[in-house]
Parts: sequence; structure tokens; C-alpha cells
Amino acid sequence: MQADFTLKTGSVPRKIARDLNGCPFPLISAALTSIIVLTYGGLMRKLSVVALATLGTGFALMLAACEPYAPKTPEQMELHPIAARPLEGPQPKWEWVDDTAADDSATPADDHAAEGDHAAQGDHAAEGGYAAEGDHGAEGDHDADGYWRQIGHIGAGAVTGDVIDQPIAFTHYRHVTVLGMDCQYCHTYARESNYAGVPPVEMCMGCHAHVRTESPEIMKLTEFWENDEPVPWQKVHDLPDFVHFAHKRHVRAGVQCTECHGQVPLMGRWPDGDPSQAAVMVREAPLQMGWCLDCHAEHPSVDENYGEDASVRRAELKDCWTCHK
Amino acid sequence: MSRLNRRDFLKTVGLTGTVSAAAACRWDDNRYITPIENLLPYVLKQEDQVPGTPTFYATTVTTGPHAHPVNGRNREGRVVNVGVNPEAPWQNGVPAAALLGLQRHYSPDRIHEPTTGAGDAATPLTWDDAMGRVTSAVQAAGDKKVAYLGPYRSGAIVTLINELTDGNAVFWEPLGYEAEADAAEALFGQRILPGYDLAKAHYVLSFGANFLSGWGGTKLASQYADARNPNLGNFVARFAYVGPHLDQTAANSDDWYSCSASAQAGVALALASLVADKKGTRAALGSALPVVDVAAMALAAGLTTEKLESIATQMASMPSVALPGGASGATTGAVDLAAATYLLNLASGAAGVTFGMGRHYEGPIHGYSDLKALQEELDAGNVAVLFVDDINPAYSLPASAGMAASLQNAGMLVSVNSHPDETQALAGLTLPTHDLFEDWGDEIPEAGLVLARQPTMSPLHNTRSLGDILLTIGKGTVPAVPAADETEDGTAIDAAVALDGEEAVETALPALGYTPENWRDYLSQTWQRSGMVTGSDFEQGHYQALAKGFLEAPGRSLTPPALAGSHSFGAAGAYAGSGDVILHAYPHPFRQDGRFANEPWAQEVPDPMSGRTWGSWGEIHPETAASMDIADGDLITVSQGDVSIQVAAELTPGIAAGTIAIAFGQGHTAQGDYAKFGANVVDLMAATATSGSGLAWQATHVSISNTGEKANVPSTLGGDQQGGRDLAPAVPAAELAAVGDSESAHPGELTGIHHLPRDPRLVETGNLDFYPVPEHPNYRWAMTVDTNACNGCGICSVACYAENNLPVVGRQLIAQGREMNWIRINRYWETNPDGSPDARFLPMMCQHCGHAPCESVCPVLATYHNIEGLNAMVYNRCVGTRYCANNCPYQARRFNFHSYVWPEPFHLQLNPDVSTRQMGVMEKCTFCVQRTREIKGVYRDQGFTTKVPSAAVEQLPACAEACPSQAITFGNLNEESSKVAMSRKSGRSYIALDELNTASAVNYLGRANFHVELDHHGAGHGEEYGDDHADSAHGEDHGDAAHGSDHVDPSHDDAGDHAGDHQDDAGDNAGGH
Repeated sequence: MQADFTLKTGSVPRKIARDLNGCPFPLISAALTSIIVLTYGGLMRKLSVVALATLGTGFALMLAACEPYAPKTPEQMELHPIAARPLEGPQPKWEWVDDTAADDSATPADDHAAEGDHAAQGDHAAEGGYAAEGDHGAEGDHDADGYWRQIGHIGAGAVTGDVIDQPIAFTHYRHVTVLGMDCQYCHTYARESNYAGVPPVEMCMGCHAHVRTESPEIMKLTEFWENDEPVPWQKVHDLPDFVHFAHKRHVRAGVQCTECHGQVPLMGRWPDGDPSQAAVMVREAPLQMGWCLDCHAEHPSVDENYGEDASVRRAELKDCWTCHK
Repeated sequence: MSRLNRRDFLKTVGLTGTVSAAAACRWDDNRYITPIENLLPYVLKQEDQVPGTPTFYATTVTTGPHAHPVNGRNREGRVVNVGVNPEAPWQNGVPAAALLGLQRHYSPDRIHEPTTGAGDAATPLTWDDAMGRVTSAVQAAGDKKVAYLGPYRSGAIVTLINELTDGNAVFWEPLGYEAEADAAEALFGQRILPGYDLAKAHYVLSFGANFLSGWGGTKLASQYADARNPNLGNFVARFAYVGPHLDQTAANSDDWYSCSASAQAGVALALASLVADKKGTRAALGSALPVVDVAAMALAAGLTTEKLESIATQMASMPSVALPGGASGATTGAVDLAAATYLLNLASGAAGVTFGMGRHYEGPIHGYSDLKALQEELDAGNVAVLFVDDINPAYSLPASAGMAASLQNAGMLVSVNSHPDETQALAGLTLPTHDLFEDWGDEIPEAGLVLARQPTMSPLHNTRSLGDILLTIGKGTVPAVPAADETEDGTAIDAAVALDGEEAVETALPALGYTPENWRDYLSQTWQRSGMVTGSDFEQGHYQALAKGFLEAPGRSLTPPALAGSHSFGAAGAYAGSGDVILHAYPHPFRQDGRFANEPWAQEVPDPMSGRTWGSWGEIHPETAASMDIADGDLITVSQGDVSIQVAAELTPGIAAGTIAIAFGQGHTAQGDYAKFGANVVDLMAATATSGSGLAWQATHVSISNTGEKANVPSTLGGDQQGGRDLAPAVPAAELAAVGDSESAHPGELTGIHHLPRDPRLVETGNLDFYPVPEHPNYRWAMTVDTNACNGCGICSVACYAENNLPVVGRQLIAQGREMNWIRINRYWETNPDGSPDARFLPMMCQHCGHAPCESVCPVLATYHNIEGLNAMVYNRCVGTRYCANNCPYQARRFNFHSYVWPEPFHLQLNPDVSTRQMGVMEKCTFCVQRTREIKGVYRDQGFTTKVPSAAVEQLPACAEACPSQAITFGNLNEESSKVAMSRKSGRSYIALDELNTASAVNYLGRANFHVELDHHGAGHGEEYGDDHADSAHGEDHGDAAHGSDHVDPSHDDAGDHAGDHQDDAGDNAGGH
């Protein structure tokens, strides 16, 4: 059998084999079958094999005619029109990771720190660490050469980095970074309840009945208010319905909002003062179970809060029924 | 150059045939995209709502004349559950009426808007139009009457109704309390319902009233549990029952004196005479107590003088109480029975101790005679407008009463009801009202106590409060009230709120002295004038009363009723009709008189005694059945004259021979699809009046024949026998009363259970447990179930449905053994040494074993033992092998054979803290993990390592909270002073199937029994079981089943009894061990 591996030298089959994630067995078995049939088979068998071989050759040629596969760059991705617009501030960055290089997964956080994007939020290494686990994608991403990895403040993996259309180009940047408002001023219940709470329209109008009333975005808000309608925000951070997540547990433990929600203070900026270009809210973290559990296992707040009971608390936090309901 | 790359080419080739199914979510190179949901904020800030945190509203549920304080649990604007109100003047669990009322609140059959006509012919009206029609009709009444017919009501609404109808109001209920009120009127000179305090009674004698499941309110069930509790006052109350049928209440009796319902009054009178002589109270009773021939009365009842003497001796020697017959004792002599029990209570000195504690119900109690007077007015054409409110005479009365025809003689029949029923179907105009979770109101269950009702959520449909409807009519103008606005989510804004801003219209109501703007205003002004709100600031006192749910008059009088007259006793109750079998109709614990028949939980949760669901059954004695060639489960025809109904035959030792017992409340025609099951037993009856103002429900003879078919009324009980497994042992009452649940040197010794021996070699070497002993550093959640307190009412099961989003699967799937209840009541029949039947109730749920047989067989670790001692079940992991269910000796696991759907708007009741499960997933009791999670959060807020004290969680799970007897206690076994830990040291503590070494987290406490004696062979078994099996006496007691071979006998392995041949996997199950 080993002798038949001379096929490896052929260029087209090798490429096919590579695209089949390095598995040459279909080709080997097809070739062996052909040889056996051509040597010992009757006329009809030979004819049928010739027909099959013709089809197979055509298939191989068509395949060869295609471009070699390479994962898309962000520019090539069919992102939402708004998302396709460049963001101000820290840009999402992509890097090509060479699979043949040394194992890089051990120090993803360091990679990030090196990028320097988050120097101001250096304690956010954990978040970056999750974002760096970029190999959650399709199996095919593990091609021989490597894969694109998303870094920066948009998450990677199975997480959407999409910007979702929102009814109003709300800017967290202005409210939090420029004006210095606290998250819990509007998300009132984050410390008190399971849900952080989205501010009622009444609360928005508390200021915006007087502030920037002529802005087109505020006029949209005023219209909702006057029609007695809620603002139909689109959910960006959405946990499955079988998950029990208590905001108050995390906030009271000392977990920062940005650890899960990302750099919200920088989101929603209006490039060139154009609200239609704003990315209102982008989910950065994967919000998947492994990501939750990693934090439950490692977050320093547990040690700070529970002292010598920390190991028990870690065990509790690992329990399925802590989150699954 | 835009070309296909090779990867996409291969994908295209490979996927061409199979891509069509990928519509729901998009697979992209880099991401999954799930559907994006809306995140809708409130428009206005909600003062009392915190999203994600429940808000509790104290409110009041009524059943007949009884009011129950409860808390509505509101999440995000909808009431999702009903719990106890911890501030209430008494604690009585959650009545079935509250939970079934909750489901009724979300019933898809509710009336959504005013209509003219009913059923398919209903035409929607606007409120303006509807109110205009009814107001014009009232104004045009002239000499004719405006009348009202409704259920027992107390509080402010009664005044309003009487004012509007000029006193032509009839407050009547089927299966009502007329006989008791008639007797009280005769003997005490007041038309009241005397109160009871069973907690002080050492001897309880009942003539049939279902006081543990409806009659008298759940307060009595709670008091009775206290009387049975050996730790309170070192006594265990003895319960004797005189009557023909062991319903769920009577099945708890220690002594059953079987006699026909017609002889009950004579027995009560004879006992009163005997007790009066023994206690020397005859002189005080004077002529009110007639001289009776005790021997003749005993003979008529089929009892002996000795038995009556025995009862009388016990009643005279200890604090006792006698309870009347309720609907089960409502023969033509019902008033005689009630009067005789009152006399018996007076003779035994119960007045002021256990009877007539001054807590009288003083609301109007009208009888069937008042209803007949109204009927005559209707037939004479003297009623211009008749309001019918939330009662259903067209269904509840026998056809011969002719009520349905008479109702249509009203000039205008107006139904003010929130739900359709047979009477509403006759109405020319329907004005849908708020139900009890949407309305304001008050109830006066006892003189001097007002229980407040407030909305627990905004109205679901375009309905109005009855009070507002009446006030609007009373104002005499076609209202300017705008129709309730529809908000964007389909709910209507409260009409009462809409009225708020309106200018007060000149009232046409006479002599009110104030001008109520709306019903809520009327109510608060009534409270203000009552003077019961103390303090200078009425508004503040008013809000405090609403917050805690009641108002109590300072220093209210508690004088017991005093004898002020006499009652002339008539002949014994008479039965009429052809046939040789006595028909005994009784109120069902859930469906009552039929008002809750359309609630799926009332049909799905098994009947406590028969385990039957979704239909009607007739209970007959096996001997009677044998003589008629009837087997259990046969479809039998019960006929009277040319009317016949078909029911399933339920063979039970708990009924007198020659009697068939059928529950009220099934076989509706116009109450909704869920209420169409079974047959209406009232169809067999004639409208026979009692000697008083009531209707005799026990006055019919019937004949029975077997159709030869099997009935489709599935039972969830697998069998009547314990099979030697000691699942529900009896404990000698005398010993129990002496020691209570104090720490015992040999825990469990009183139960006399002989567990299978454990191999001492394994115990010595520490190899008894194959798996490592789990560690529980903080909590080991555990439960104690007191089978002595449990009266089998089944409310725990209903509460579990409400809390844990259990699907209702329906009759056919129950017949296939696919019911989904997480907690069930196993009912076993035992035989006392004197030959009388002894019912044992065993609540059974997941035991959260330390060594759970289910865990080790799960191939995907979907079920595992968690760090808090819970047997956790992770639905997302479950692949549905059902190995765990097959291996569970308690049969506590339930499999989702389908993805069940909640018909809208039932889904609004779903608890947001609990997942709904889908097809292919196993589920079971979680010890209400969502509630422990919530309360742990509350304590963790105070400090990260603050633990929840057991005292705070004793009634935490839904079943424990709902139980009126507090039979279920929850707690942390790691905390040595917790009730669960202490109870394990009791002499009557045992673990079901302990020989399997499951290290169960549930321990049971044995049931007190006055007929058994201490089995001394049982002492010492609590040690290591080693010396036990050498005891030969033990084998005689329990048969061969108690020894080694039992261990491999599959028929002894499922505590459930239930599921062995019942859960769908019968074959696997039998081979499970």
C-alpha cells in the first residue's frame, strides 16, 4: 500500500487532499479501484470506470481552476453596511496566524498587550484573552497554512462582531466618556436585580426634553415618547433563555461592566458627526459557556471576596445549576 | 478576479442537496447568527416593578364564605404564581382555589369584551354601547325589579349590590352552607356560620364535611395538622368520621363509623344526648335538646349503642369538636344534622374552645328557597333586569328545578362574569368582569376582620370591575367612560384608572353620603367610614393595610354563640327514585362544585383518592361491584329514571356497600373545552328541598349497569398496596404523643420498619458505597415529609405545576403513562387490626439521593450530584436515553415525549426562572432550585459568605409553601439545628427504600395510627441493620418480602408503585434491578 503513495507527488490531487483537510484516502481508494478494475475488469466495467474517471478528472480540473482557499479578510467580509464603515478610535485588527509557527494560544493576552490597543484598559487582558480564542470557527479554518485572527475590541470566534441596526444612533461614547455618566445612572437595576434594565423612555426624556431637542436622533426619540411607544432596541447581548444570569451578583462581586460588555464607553461614536455611520453597540465577548466558565474559574474577585472559602465558591461557580435553569 | 475558491466549490458540491434545511440560522465563515430579539424598555418608569425581581402583592382569594390571604408574585407585569402572605393573620398554605384561580385568570376561554348573545352567536359590543343598554334597561324597569344573583359575598360590594337592586339580591352557591346557617338561626338566633378552632381539639368528629379540602377554608386543614402534631401539646387528635364514604377528608379518619347519610342526624342527636348526660350539660341545653332513643338511632344507622357510647365517652373526656355534613351530609334532613352537631358541640363544652370562637361569618347566606322565590318572580315576568354573577345555576341545579328556562324570563339577563359557563350562555348581555387577580375588593370572613383584595396585575382583557359596572349604572347616566384602551401588547388599561380623571357625576344612589368616583374610591371610603383604619392619616393606614393584606378591628369581640332558641327535629333524610343503589355526590378537592372544571390543572392533577384524571368515576365497594359483575375501570351506566350518565368504576374499600360516590363538577357543556370531560352527577338528581332553605344533594337512588367496555378515565396510581416495602408505615399514636419528635436513641424505632440487612463486612471495611461519598461544604439541601400531617389533598402537586412550568399532557398521554407531575401523592390502602380500611398518603418526589441510581447510568452526565446535595438535571446535555428513569427506584423522573405547547395566553403564567423543556428531555423535581438560588442571592447581598439559615427556607419549595398542613419542610442538613436535621433523629423518621442505600435527601415521618401497637422488634434497627434479619418475628410480620430476595424482586423496587407498569417504559422498568 505504501507504494501507492507516489500519488503524493501529483500536484492536483495533493491540493485536493489539502483542501480535504489533508485526507488523501478518497483519492487513494479511487485510484486503487481504477487500477484493479482496469486490470481485471470486463468491458462494461472498463467503460464505466472510464466514464467515472472522466467525471473525476473534470472535477479535479474544475477544482484546480479555482483559487487556492484563503480565509476572508475583514474587508472582504459581507458585513452590514454600517459595520463596514471604519470605526473611530481603536480599530478592529486582524492578523494572520501561521499554524506552522509555535503554539500561540498560550499567551494570547500578551499578544494583545503587545498590540497596545488597550493600554488604557490594561486590566482587560482577560477579555482580550477570550477574544483571542479565534479557532472556534469552521473546521476548515485549520488549513495547513493558518487562519485569520481577529484582535482588538471586536470579539472573534463564533461571536458576532456585527453592528446591528438600531432605531436611534445612541452614543454611549458621549454619555459615558464625554459627559462622565455612570452606567447605573440609566441601567438602574444592575446592582439590584437579575436584569440591568434598559432606561424607560421617560428617563431619556428627562434630559432630552431640554437637551439637544433639535438633533435628528433626539427627534426620533421624542417621536417615540409622544406616540407612547418604547424604543425598539435590538438585543446585542442576548443569553439563551435557559440561562440564569444575575447582573447583581456580578456587579456586587466587583466585575466591571466592560469585562463582558466590552468598551461600551467608546461605542456609538459618530464619525464626521454623521449618526448614520455610528456603530451603536457591538458585542465583543462570545457569551458562550466556556467563556463564562473560564471567568468563573479564574476571576480574581472570587479570591478577594471569599478569602479562604474561595475554593468552595469556585466549585459552586462550576456547578451547572449555578447558571442553567 | 472574482472566482469561486476551492473550499467554496467543494462546499457547494457537497451541500447542494442538503442546504434547504438551514433556514433558521445562517452559517457564515465566522459566526452563527441567531435571531435578534427586541429589547423593549418601559415607556414610563414603573414604581413598583424591578425587571428580574418579583414584586409581591397581598391579595385575597375566596371560596364560598371563606377568604384566604395570599401573595401574588408578579414578574415583569404579570402574576406568575400565588404564595402565602407572611403578614396574614393566619398561615394556611395556598388554597387550591388560588392556584386554580391563577390558571383561570390566564384561561384562553375568558370573555374578552362585552358581548350580546353568547357562544358562537356572540356579537362584540363597545363598553359604551353595552353600558348604555343595561343602564337604559335599569332605568326603564319601572315597577319591575332589578335583581342580582351571585355567590356568597361579603364586604363593601354587598352594600353596593343591595343598593342598586333595592335588596333583590340572592347570594347563593351550590353545595352551600344553608343548612349550617339555618341551624344557627334556629339555635343561636343569628344567621351566621360559627367558626372552629380544630387546633385545640383532641377528638374531631365529622359527619362528612370536607374540611380538609374546601369546607371551612384551608384554615381548618392547617388547624387539624396542628392538632395531629405530637410536638404541640403532646397529643395527637383522634379523628372519627360518621358517614358512608371516605372522601379525601374522611380518609384521614382514625375511626370510620359507616352509616348512610340519612342516619347521620340521628347519630349526632343521640351523641348529643349521651354527651350531655356524661358532661351534665343537659340542663343548660334545656328543651333545645330533645329526648332521643339512642338504641333506635344506633340501629337505624347500622351502628351499635356501644359504639355510640364509646364516641360519647371520648368526646366528654377531652376537648372535642363535631363538624356538620356539608354537601356530603345534605340529605333532606340536613338542617337536623347541622343543628344536632351544634347541640353536640354545646353539650361537650366545645363552645368557646373549639367551636364558635366568635369568628363568625356574617355575610348573607341565601338558600335554595330564596332562589326559588326569585325564580317565581322571573316566571311571573316581574324582573326587568337580572344580573348573574359568577355562579352557574343552569349547570349546578337539577334539570327539574327548571332554572335555565326561568332565567330566560328575565327582561334582560346580564351576565357579569369573567368566564363563560352554561348560565352565561343564556345571557342576552355579557359584561365581562375583572377576575380576582385584577380587581379591587374586600372580604369579611370573620366579624371584625377585613381581608383586602388588590390587583396583582393590570387586566388582561377589555374587562371592568363589577363595582365599577354597578356604580356606573347607579349613576343613572349613559357613561362617559371611554372604552378601555388597548395598549400595544394587547392588554387593556384598567377601566378604574381610566375613570380617575373623570368629573364625578351626580350619583343616583341613595343615602351614600359621599360621591364615589369609582369602585376603588367607593372601597376606600367604605374602609374609612368603618373606622378600622387606625391612626390619624387615613391614606397611610390604608396603604399599610393594602400592603399587608388585611385590616383588623381593634378588640373585636370573640364571644361564642349562645343558645337562644331551639330547632324542631324532623324525620330522617329520605331517598327517592327507582334503583337499589344510593347515590352519594361529593365535592371534589380541586373542582369543588364545578367552578374550576375548565382549569387543566384541576383535570390533570390526579384525584387524591382514586388517582383518576380527566373524567368522572363512581366509587363502589368491591363486594357491591362483584355482585354486579363490575371490575375496576369498567365503564358503567348510572341511571335514574330515563336519565343516565356513564362513569368509570373505581373499586374502593372506602365506601359503604350499596352506595356509589360520584364527584360533583364534571361534564360541562359551555364552560370551555377542558370542562367537557366526564358527566354531571346533578343530572341524575331531582330538585328536592331540605326541611330548611337548602337543596338536598343526597336524596337519590340510582341503578347501575355495566356497559362491558373499559372506561377511558386513566388513573396514575399503580396499585393500592405497599407490597411489604414499608413505604408509608404507621406509628402507634399513644407512643408518638408521649415522645413527639424528640431525639430518639434509635431513630425510626417507632415505625417498626425492618430494612434489609446491609452486609456488615462492607460496612466494617467502609466499602458499602461503591462511589465516593459526595461532599457538601455549604449546603446539603434536604426535605422532611410528615406523612402524619399530610392529608393527601394534592395541592403540592398543583403548586408544582404552577411553579415549574409543568406541561399538561391530557387524558390520552396520561393513559399511556406519560404524565409529567414532579410530585405526586401515592395512596395506599392498609387494613387496621379491626378490619377497617386505612388510607395512607405518601407524597413522592425526587429524593435527591447521595448515591443516586440515576446518575451512574447517564451516558452524558446530564444528571449529576451537585455541591449542594441536589441531584441536578441539565436539560441541554440530556439526549433522552431514559436510562435514568428506568433506574430510579422512586420513579420520580418524567420524560418529555413531546414538545408541549401552552395555548395562549396560558404561556403568560410561565415562571421566567424555570426553563420549559422540549421533546426528548428528562426532567424531575429540582427542590425548586430557582428559589434556593434566589434566596442565596438575597443573603449573599449581605455578605459574600453569609449562608442562608435553614429557618428562612423551611417552606421554600412551592410544594412546601402551598401545603396547608406544613407537612413538607425544607432545609440544610449541614445545619445541625435545622428542622430537617432534627427530624432525622425522630423515632418515626424513615427513608423510603433505605435498603437500597441511596442516601436520600428526603426523610419521611411516620403516620400516627390509634390501632397499631409498637412493634418492639423494630427497636434498634436504626443502628446497622445487622441484628435485624436474625429476628424471626420480623419475617412473620412482613412476610418474605422483607428479606434478601426482595432486593432483586423488581416489583418491590419502585416506590412509586405508580410507574412500574405505568410510565411508558414498563418493561425496562421491571428489569431495572
